[in-house]
Amino acid sequence: MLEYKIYGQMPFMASIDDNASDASRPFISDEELIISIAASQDRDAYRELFGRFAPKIKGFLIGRGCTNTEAEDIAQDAMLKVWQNANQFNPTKAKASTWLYTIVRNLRTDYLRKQNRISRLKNEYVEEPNIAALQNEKIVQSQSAKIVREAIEELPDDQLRVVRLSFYEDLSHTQIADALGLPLGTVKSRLRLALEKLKSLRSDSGEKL
Amino acid sequence: MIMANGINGHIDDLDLWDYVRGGRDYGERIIIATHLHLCKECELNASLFEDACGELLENSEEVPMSKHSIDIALARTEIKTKTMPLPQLQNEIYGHSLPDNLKGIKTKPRHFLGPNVWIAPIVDNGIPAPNQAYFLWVKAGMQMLPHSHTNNEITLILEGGFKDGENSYHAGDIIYEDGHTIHAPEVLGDEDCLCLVYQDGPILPKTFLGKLLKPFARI
Repeated sequence: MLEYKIYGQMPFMASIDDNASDASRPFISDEELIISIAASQDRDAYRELFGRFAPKIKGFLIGRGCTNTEAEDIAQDAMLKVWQNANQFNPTKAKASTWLYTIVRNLRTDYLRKQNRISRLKNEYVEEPNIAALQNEKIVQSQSAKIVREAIEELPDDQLRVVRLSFYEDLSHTQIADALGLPLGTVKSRLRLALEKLKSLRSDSGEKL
Repeated sequence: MIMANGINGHIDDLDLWDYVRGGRDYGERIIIATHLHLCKECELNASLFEDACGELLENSEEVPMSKHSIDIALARTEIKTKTMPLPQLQNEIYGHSLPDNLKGIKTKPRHFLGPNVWIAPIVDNGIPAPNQAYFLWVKAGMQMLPHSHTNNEITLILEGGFKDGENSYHAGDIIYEDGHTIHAPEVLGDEDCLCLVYQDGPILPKTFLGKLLKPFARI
């Protein structure tokens, strides 16, 4: 059973804006911050988590084609969801970044659908289901972060490049093929090999990851 | 109740990756999400891909938030939201129970293609024509008219099963078809078959009768 300290109850965190040097503070993991938010509505922990993730989320969304304002708004909404749903976070099942990623992804797809709907709306209003509610948000089993990170780092450059273009630039297989000047089949096979490598983590660990 | 043990037809890795990274359109996302709800194997793979996406998010290039963003964020946590009772969402379609993830899904009224087949298109203005997702119900013992496809089609069986040539498919299975296939699936056994279908191009009837019926089928 994992044990987590409550972030806001730590003496050094009495004021997060004090002048204590970073070196004097023990590192508090992202997971611990979320647990502290859930346990005691810890605003200092929220502030810290916001500082760590909001700029990354914004950068990720701008890479995906959002404007600066859209990216900032979605990043704000994502962090608010973290605040509101922190008690649903289970660190034994998902890493903080994985949980945050699914929140951001669902907000973005929902946002895109709303934009699309507005542009297509004519004279009638048709109520639509919420895609976020339809998506499988259940995270079954978290993988060891270190193992997944190493697996990504160990991907051959040509496979990693395709993964990165797919993830960060939101490019389709055809667009990646155009960008890299490669046949479409080569792009697909490189991506497939990278995904196989990730999937092999399950068999390598006897499904214990 | 949908039983989907022993699933043999799974989501292709490239499709699953695109789903996890937030790609593909609404109809395709629904069908993949529903399969993940039924298939432990694909759900585990999706979870693994989500972990990888989480890692990539952590390594995203940072773009500074605006000057007062943290003040705005903290102020928003102060806003008390009124908890409203969740609406009772329908989780069946014309008497057939649906997986939980499809609870509340909206469709246009079903239309019959004869007494033994109906189609209920999923409502979503966001799907650019001719892409569409729909429920397809076929009575036990029926066989579809021979047809092909102008593009890709993904079928997820929710109830019953069907035979297509030498292959048999059952609840939970995903079946991919494309323009290279001409087929006439036949419902297996004595159980009616309910499917969720996504297609990004209209079907191509291969018989005179099929061509005659196509305008009524609207797929």
